[in-house]
Amino acid sequence: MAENEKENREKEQAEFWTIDSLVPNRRRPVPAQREHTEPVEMELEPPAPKKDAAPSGAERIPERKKQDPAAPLSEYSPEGSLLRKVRVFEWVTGFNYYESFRRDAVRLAHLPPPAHPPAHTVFFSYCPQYSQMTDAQLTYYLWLRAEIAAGRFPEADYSYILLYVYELINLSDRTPPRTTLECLCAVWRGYHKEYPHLNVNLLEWICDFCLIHRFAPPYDLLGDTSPSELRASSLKEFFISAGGNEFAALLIAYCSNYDYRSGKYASEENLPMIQRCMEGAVAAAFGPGTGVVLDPGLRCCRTVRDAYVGALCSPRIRRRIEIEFLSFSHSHELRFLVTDVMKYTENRLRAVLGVKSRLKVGVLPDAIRAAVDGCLDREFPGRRRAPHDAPPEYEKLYEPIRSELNALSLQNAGRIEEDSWQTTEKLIEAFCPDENDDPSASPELLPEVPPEPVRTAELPPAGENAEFPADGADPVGAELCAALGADGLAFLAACLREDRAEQSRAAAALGCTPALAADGINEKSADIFGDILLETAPDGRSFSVLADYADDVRAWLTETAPAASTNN
Amino acid sequence: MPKNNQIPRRILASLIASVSAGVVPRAGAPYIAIGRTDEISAFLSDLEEMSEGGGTMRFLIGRYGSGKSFLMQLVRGYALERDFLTADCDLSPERRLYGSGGSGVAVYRELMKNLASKASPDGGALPRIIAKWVFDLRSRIEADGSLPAEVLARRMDAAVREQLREMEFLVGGFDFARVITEYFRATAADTEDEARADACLRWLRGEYTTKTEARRDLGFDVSVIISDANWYDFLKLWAALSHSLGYRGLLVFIDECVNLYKITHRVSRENNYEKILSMFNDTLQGRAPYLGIVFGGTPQFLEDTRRGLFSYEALRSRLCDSRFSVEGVKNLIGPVIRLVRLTDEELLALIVRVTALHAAYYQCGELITPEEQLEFLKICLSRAGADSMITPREMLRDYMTVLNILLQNPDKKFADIAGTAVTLSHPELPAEEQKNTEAPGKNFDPDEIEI
Repeated sequence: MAENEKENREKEQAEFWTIDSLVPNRRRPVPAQREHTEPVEMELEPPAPKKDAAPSGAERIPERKKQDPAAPLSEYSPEGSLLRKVRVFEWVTGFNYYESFRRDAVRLAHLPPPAHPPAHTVFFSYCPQYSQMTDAQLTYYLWLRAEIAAGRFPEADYSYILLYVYELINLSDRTPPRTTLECLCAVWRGYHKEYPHLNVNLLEWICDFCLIHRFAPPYDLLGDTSPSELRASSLKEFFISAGGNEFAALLIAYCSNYDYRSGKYASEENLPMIQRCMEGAVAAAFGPGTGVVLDPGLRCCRTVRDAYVGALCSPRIRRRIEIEFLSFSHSHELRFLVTDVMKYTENRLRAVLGVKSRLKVGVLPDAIRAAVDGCLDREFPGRRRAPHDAPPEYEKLYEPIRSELNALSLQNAGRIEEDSWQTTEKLIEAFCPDENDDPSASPELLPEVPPEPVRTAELPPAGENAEFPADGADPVGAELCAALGADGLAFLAACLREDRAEQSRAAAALGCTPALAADGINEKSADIFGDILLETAPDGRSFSVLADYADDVRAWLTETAPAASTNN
Repeated sequence: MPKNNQIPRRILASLIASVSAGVVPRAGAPYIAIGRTDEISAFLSDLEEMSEGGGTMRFLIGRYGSGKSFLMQLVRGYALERDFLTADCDLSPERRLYGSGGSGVAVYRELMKNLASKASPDGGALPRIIAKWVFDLRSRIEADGSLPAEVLARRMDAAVREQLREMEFLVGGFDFARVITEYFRATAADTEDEARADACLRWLRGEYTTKTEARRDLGFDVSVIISDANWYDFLKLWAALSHSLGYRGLLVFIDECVNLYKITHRVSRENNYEKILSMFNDTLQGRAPYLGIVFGGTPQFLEDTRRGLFSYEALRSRLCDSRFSVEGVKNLIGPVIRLVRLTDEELLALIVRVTALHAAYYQCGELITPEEQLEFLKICLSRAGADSMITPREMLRDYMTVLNILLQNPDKKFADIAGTAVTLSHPELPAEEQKNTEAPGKNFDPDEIEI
């Protein structure tokens, strides 16, 4: 009974996680009826060939009509500008967008404004057109148009302004160009601060208008324009007149990778001074005498642009303009040079302001550096850089004693060299027993032998070769072997064979550890011929003979202690 | 010429290689010691004083390439031969005399790593010198005959503790003596405990960063570990111990001290100078027996009144020249030794010496005649700026290059090699000769390039 219960319990536990019985039965999926899909042969009649069809039956692509290259509507070379040549072409298209807008503009051009200022009516459109406006919006627009023409710039929605600009552009063939230009510039002058996006699009359209109608950059109409506002223009070179005092400012604005206005130390208080110094330094750097010629330094480029891109413009007004100009953006070397000049100037100004951090400057030509320094020295006459060439007073104590080259004497040098051997002897002798030494103070690891200075390499007399003593009469080997004794020689032989076990036995015979035995041999060899014999083997636990002396040690052991010689 | 005329081959090889590479030779420096007689004599007298229980400190000041490190190696080699222990270390931004974050104890670790003795001149002598000392003790104890193992162990223990008892009165001495005693016990033949021996060595080298770790590895309690704050105290202990171990003293070389001058933080820099002042006072007032310290640095490190040692008034008053000092007259009794570059004739003597050593090593005879050696020196000294910028290092490097070229190309002559060197205008040459010595690049014709 108990066994049955136990079995039942085990079975229950085993089947506890079996959930098949709990899952509802699923219907078996019935496979789809298979259709008969064997290929069957069919006969079809081919379609009737067309007249201009190709022999293979394919439809021929109509040939494109060759267009004669159109002659430019106008072609000219602006004077005093970085633009070399401008050619204006008709904008050829097969489409006729926005012609209805132009018709509406013509129709509404002479509508008078309302007698009283209307209430402001909001008008928003991504592409404002007259057809989108209500009567109230149109009334407000007519009033706004008159106000702007009168030189007043009331509050206006951006869409109203765009609509007015589109009207000016599309009616440019019916209005004197100068009048249109004045109106466009007036719009920019009045609203570019409120709507900065006008710097992006309206300036482009003004540039196009001027190129088409051969106008010079309208500085007088644009008013107080800073180079940064012209930065968004795709043809900055149009707004730049070559030469003149503004050239440095324009180089700074358009031909530099460094914007000093965004510098950390260009505060409101310092900015005017920095601007003045920066323009002066750049003007000096590229002025006469520095050797930098700008005109060839600017690369001549050619670009083709469609006029009034982004504007709602009738095709009969739009033009294609080809321009050859000297480019800032493609003149990389000049850009780098101007950037370095500006950074160098900034570093000088930071020194004046007492700021320690410096910008990294590339290699500046000396002439440019001198020109910039001269300009800044005139600006800050009292602040001259400390002369770095003056050495401190104490350096005199370390000046070498010079002789005239012709006074150098081989005899004097030989005498100095000969006398220096005495110093060498004093430094290398270590075997003379000191009278203050207590012989019993430190017992020798190996028996002491009166040392004699016997070395292994000989300095040759002049003109002769030196030979290392290798014959059996080597006094060094004899003395060393006598100093080491039999047990020491056995240890030395074991080191020559790099036999760790043998080294341990030999050291035990000496009554010390292998390390101490090696130290003892090294001390003896240093006393006798000035250098150690043994070094720690690569395994770090045993010792080996230095490679330079292995042959000598082998010879000594063979000659002086045949029983301890190595088996080669 | 020395009376023996012989140089160990290994040392000669190392010397030639070092000179060719333009580095200070670690071995064999005495064989190219030209001049510097007075400076060497001053150091030798310092060593005599050290061996009698005194302490010394020297500031070896000279421009880059004037021979400071070379002179240090000379003295180091001599001290090793005379049974001194030496330790050397170059300061760096990571190794300072005073600092937090381990920069202070890093100096101590470097010194211990480079601790050298006569038998281990290249460093790593720490375990060897202790083992040798233990062997010496045992030899003394067993001088009258061998003893049973237990008796020997007991007497050795007593002898070690007796010898180290005088250390216990110094700062950190108790733990120092305890660790050395435990190291001895761990390395005794019958109770060899390699792990504990390694732990003791690590402690002595200052490699523990926490006391907990040290206690765990050592197996006994220590109240201190060697750290940034106390490494100099343990250096003094080593100096005292070196005498107990049978050596004449401990000579410490600390080079590249200009790295202290370069510390931008004023307080940190002055703390380092304070450390130097403490060392100076200890050594010269007898509170650091058997300890000699040599600092190597540039003139700016010593004499700059804004950032150098002279900016610290306590050091300036101790190190500056007396008002009776006469310009151009040497005074090597004071702590400051000013090194001036070798004179032109000494440079020529150096060339003569190196030529002889090169011939001895390669067994080829002298490849350059004395007249050509003189010509080579003139070429070097004629370069623009050579009067203040040329160093023996650069000159020897160039000279070894010429020698090696001549050695490998027997058909070439000195004029072929030295004559193609680029030289600037020689102010003494007439205009016609100047044209002949113009750099070959002046009339360069690309069509002459052969591919």
